[in-house]
Amino acid sequence: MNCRHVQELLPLFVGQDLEENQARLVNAHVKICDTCAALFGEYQLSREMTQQFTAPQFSESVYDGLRQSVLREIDRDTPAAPWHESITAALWRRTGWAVATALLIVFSVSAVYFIARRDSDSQSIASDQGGKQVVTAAQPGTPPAETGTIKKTNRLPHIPTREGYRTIYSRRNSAPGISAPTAVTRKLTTTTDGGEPNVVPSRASSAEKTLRVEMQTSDPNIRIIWFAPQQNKSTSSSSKGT
Amino acid sequence: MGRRIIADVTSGAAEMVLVLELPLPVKAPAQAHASVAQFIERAAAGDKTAFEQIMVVSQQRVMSMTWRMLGNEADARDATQEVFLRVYKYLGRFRQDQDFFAWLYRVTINVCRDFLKRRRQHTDRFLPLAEETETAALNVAVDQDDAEQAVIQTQQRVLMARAMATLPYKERAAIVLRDLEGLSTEEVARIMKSRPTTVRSQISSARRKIRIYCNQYLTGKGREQQ
Repeated sequence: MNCRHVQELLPLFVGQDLEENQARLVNAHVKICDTCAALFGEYQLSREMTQQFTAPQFSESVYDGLRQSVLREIDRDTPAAPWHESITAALWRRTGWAVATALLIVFSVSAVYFIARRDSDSQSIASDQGGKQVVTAAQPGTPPAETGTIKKTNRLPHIPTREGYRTIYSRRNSAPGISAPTAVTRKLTTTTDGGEPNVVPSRASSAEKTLRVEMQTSDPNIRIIWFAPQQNKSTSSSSKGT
Repeated sequence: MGRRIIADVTSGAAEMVLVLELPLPVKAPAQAHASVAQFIERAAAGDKTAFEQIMVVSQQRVMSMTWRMLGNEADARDATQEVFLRVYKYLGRFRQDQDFFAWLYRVTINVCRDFLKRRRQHTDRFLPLAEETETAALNVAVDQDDAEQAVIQTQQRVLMARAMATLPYKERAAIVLRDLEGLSTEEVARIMKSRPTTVRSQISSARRKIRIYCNQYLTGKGREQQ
């Protein structure tokens, strides 16, 4: 290591900022070179003087005044922060909490959306059952297949959530003595304009002027039958299922 | 909390066992950091009493740093006030896993840089770094018994103030943090958002300039120039 190289490293050597290998080489050189040793002495002296460059001791009154002026500035310049800034500042320091809160909000919104949609679906099914997808009343003497025609509408029927759910609408004709089954069963999974509905005859009822609604559950042994008094004798009527 | 240290001492024919109860230093810095962390958390939530405690803990450090960077008390006070206002403003962004004092140094250096820029723009308000230092040092010297020693200290302080005033801002910040605040090169680099090699280069340059300035002054060249 020559003098030029050592003299470049001396400012760092004097503050022990060199790596161990370099420091050892510089130290060895300084011990044998008078010029570099003198220069090293100057660096040591100037560094000692630098370290004595301390700030004066300020009195406690200076610090008190400083604190009071800072607090006054804070009171004057920083009015109550808006609520969103407070939340942002609080969440900034806790990223985990922020992520968890965001996920919770997303989950809550999704849950509310699906619940609301499910309610609206059930309401529209009920309205469809009451208004448009009704089965016309069977006329006396007509074959069962013809009595089970469905009024076609432009709207597609709502598909039930469970497969195999079947609703059976039947309407008992007021004419007595009809032994042929007049009820029409229709799978709601099929569209109304998709051709002939899936017709399953139901048991005949002896009651007159009543609306009979049969609902086939997923269990083939369980069928829900609902009788409701008919309001008028028109060819179509509405019913509400539960 | 003392720590029990057992030392086996074999001497000649007899064996002795020395049991020493050495009082280990209490982890004062750790406790201080813990209390500062609590103050920070409360201050970030809007507790001004906690923020005042933060100021009490750090005011001397900030004031000393601003004085070394700016060279006079008036600017140092203004800068310190600005530092604490910025700390209060951005305390919400401070993460608890950060070193608070390193963050505080960073804010202080930024404020001092802004002050130096403003000083350059308004030269009429410029107060030379050495001028006030000289006055303050002379005031101190009157109260001291050893007048000769006081004069020497005064001269050294004035000399250093002038030497520091010749340094560029980044070199001055690096040398103040490294040689006066006693931080490591890596810590200085983190505070200045720079690389350690860059900081070493700045420190090396600053030490060389200070040595040359002092050498010129001490050998009489500096006085002739002035």
